[in-house]
Amino acid sequence: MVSRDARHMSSPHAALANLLASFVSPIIANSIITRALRQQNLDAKNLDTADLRVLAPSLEAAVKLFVEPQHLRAFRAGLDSMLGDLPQRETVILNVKTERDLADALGATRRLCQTWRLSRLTQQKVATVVSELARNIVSYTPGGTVELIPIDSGPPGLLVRASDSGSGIPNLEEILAGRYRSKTGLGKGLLGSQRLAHRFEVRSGRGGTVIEAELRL
Amino acid sequence: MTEYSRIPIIKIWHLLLVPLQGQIDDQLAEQLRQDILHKIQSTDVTGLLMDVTGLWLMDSHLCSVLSGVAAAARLMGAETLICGMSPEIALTLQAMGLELPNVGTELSLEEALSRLGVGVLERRLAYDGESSLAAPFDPWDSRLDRR
Repeated sequence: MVSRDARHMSSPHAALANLLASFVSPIIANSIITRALRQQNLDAKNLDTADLRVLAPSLEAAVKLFVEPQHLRAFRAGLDSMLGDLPQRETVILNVKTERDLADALGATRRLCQTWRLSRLTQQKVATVVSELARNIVSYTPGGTVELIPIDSGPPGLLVRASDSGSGIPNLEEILAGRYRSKTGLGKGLLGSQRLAHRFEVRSGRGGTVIEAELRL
Repeated sequence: MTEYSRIPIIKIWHLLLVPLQGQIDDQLAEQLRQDILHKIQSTDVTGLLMDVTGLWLMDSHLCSVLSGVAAAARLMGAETLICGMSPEIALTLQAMGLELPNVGTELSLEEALSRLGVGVLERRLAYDGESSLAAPFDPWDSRLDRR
């Protein structure tokens, strides 16, 4: 099989070109790779195997245009076997302080969701929770971090942990009970995140706040 | 006016169409709010259509921005409709218990337009035996006189 050969090739780029060549013409294979690289802002020269995971969704989308559905499945299998040896999911830490960071954090979350091949609905839920928690940090605290931590034990999940060094959340209990009404919309995001999450925990005090939202993938 | 937002505000007859796209941060939201309200005042429109097809994410903040614009637009005599919401966004908003007060919703732009009183006069011109999609529109076509 092509995929098995591909794994023994020297560089990931050559392996990828080799895999694609058995489904489309060399010219198209080349342009598919170039386009995927450009979309993900990666360089062909120092491409490592971890980058392949990032490229996979773009590659699949492009290959879909050129091959029959039954061959697409074979291509996916080939790609998977190239990805197979990689460490699966790693924790990502996003620093959040300004509105600009918020946009960057959402971009990073989106790429991560695509790399992990989550369904569109799950992507939407993950990104919304990140957005809500990160926005609270930007709006009401001097700064903090949002961590995306994969959960591998038991059913696959994702832990979103937002930490800040602000002065804590006043009337937290009212907010989470849905009794809090504000003009600014403050509190709705927290309550909404709680409803999206499988497990939700807030520890808030004068020294800062840590919010953990666990989502099923 | 110093600077315009990168979101276009398009006037079509008595309506304003605002195709929202990309990330809408606080600054852009404020700019958009002002631009829309000024445009409502200067053009005397009766409806505001916000298309969210190009949005990847709708969170509680964006919902409150859109509702705020709609509430202000209503004070100025314009009804607000939102269209083009993806199933994923709709399900997420519903799960979060978020609502869009002051705002009506329609599935597609076409349906939103027709609710605000804009529609196609005759859906298709009856060309004999030909698909009307294939036939180019000819304003001098004698068959049009039969309407």
